[in-house]
Amino acid sequence: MISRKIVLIGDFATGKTSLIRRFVDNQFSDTYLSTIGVKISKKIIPLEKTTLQGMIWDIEGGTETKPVNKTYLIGAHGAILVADGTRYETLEHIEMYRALLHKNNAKIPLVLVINKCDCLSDEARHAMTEKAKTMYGDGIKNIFLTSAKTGEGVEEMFFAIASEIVGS
Amino acid sequence: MQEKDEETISILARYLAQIISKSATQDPNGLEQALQSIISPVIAKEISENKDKMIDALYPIMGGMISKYVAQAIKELMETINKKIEQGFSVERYKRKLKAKLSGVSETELLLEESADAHILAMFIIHKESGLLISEAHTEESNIGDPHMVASMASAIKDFINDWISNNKAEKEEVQILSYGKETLYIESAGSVYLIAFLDSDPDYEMRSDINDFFASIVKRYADFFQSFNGDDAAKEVHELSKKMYAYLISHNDRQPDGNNKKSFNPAKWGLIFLLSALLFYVGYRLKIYYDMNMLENRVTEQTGEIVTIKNEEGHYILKGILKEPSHFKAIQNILSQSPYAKEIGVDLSLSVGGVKKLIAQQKKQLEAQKEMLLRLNNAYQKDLQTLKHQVVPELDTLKKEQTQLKKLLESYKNEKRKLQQLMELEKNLYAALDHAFANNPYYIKKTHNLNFAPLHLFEVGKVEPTGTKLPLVTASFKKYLHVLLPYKPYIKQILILSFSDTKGNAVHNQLLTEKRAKNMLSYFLKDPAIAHSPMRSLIQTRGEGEKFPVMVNGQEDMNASRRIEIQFTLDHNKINSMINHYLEKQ
Repeated sequence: MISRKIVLIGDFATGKTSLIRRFVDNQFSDTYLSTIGVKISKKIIPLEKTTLQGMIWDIEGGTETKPVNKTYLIGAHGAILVADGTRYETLEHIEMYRALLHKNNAKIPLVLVINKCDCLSDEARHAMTEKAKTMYGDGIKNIFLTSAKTGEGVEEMFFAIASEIVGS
Repeated sequence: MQEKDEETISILARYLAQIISKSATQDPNGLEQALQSIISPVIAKEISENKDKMIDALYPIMGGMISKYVAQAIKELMETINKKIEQGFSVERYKRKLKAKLSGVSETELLLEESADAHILAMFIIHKESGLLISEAHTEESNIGDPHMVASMASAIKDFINDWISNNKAEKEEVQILSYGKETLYIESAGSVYLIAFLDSDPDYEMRSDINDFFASIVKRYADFFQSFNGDDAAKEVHELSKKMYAYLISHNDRQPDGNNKKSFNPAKWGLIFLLSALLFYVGYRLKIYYDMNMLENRVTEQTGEIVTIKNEEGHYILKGILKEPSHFKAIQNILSQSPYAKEIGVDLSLSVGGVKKLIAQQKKQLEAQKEMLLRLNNAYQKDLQTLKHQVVPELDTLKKEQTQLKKLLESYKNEKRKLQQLMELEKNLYAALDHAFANNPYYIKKTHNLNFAPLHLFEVGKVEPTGTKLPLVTASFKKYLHVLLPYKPYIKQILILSFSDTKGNAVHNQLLTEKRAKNMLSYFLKDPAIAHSPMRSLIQTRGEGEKFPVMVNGQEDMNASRRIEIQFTLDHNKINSMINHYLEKQ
């Protein structure tokens, strides 16, 4: 089995931890997030040709005053960029996180996630998706609208990043 | 201007407290963010620019805290030691006490040593960049959980701390020890990987060096693999590493003083084992004896109905009891003799009053029975004796007679045998007796056993009467001759007095002359009463030999020597031979 490091990165309170809780098999307590700024979870992801053991690093959301710990991004094989569909500025900050990731690994596969889509109106969904599409490319191989609350798009998103990692 | 600023500050200060207090109630998050964004950079700047000043300012607080934590740590250590000492009846305590006595190291030092012994619970080799687990090994007692998650989390924690250190220090340093409670993570970094050892307490310098040496050997051997690690845990190197780490982990823990180290000799441990074994053996031995003695008591009770006890008195086992039945003495002795402890158990049994009466009655009865038996035996004996007397006495008389006869026969036989022996040796003995008796007599001729008086010139020419001073000597010699021959008288045919003449003159005349001379010589001898009355007298005869045997010297006759007297005897060989035949036939 192949192990790979997958990081979840995005602004504070975009729902990264909830997405992981919905998906993973095994995880550490959330208290680590508030102490050292990261929480590790594990998910065995069976793919078409192989099985991937994803070590998912849930990195504490960044704020203006407290940026994410860049050290945690080193060595990542793939990343999930998470934005809050209800907060537009979180989508705008995705560029910053992409830049951070590319600083360490220019070829890292990325997936963009607009979370909390259950709270979005159709118009808002459309608007956010359109904005996200402008970010496509330059590492971002997929865009997902997800809801940790309903589970919408969560598994697909994780399988997609796993496939990208294996294929890269 | 300066005065204006001070005035403004004074007015603001008056209202600032109220504004902060109001904000704290109405919008605490906003206030927190506002203050944080101002205060944090200020503190960071101050620390970076005036490090020494800040240290001086913080020392009263931090120093106190450090002292407090150090004191707390020492207190916890002492509590651990005290707790161990207070484990009053635990085997560990006695083991430690014994070890202290045997090794000469104080119990407290041993406890400190125990407190310092660190065991490696698990070892991880982690890819430095990704935090992915490359390989791991852990002991059975360790509770590591999911090693991949632990590896990543440990990596994250390490990164966090390293990041924090690098933000606060000019020189880049890496965290090496992380402790939480008793658990400790020892981290060593090299190349593209780092090793994390999970320990149950802080490792000392020696242990760290040991781990580092091991890690260095791993890095040297697998450097290429580490650099090209692609997260595949199926790689053979992953399993090799796991095996190596597990072997190291086990061997390292075995080397610890409280590990089960079978390679090093620990005298205290073996001394303790020996003492415990000896104690167990002794207890087992005592229990077995106790059990056997109880069984023996029970057997006695089962077989005799008597209650007995076996007690150890001054190292000797004594079987004690008061018996109701005297016969049980023997029964108990028999039971004891069959026991393997027969030689080790003494007997101190007594009889109850009833038992004594029974014993006396039994002994009386036995005595009476014995008395009766003896009387019966005596009567039977007397009767048999009488019968025997009648049968044996006549036979004895006959036997005695036969014995007497046999004795006589034996005596007769012996006598005849002796006589036969004497007869067979008669001639030899007689000659020996003569040789012995006349050993110094010049007239005795040993060859012929005759007496020859030629040198004495007993007869003058033509005369028939013996003369000369030597005549008594001739008589004494003849008397002695007869005396020697006397015991052989029955077997002597005759004793001859022979007379010889010289050759001068007429032969007939000489014949007559010699006959007269022989007779005259006998007459002379008979003048001696001992010869005249000798038992040998009847055997003495005379004979004249004439001139037939002259004495020749150098071819000429010695006339004087030719006129001589010779005495000889003749054995009765016919008689001797017939007697020998007679005895031989009897034999």
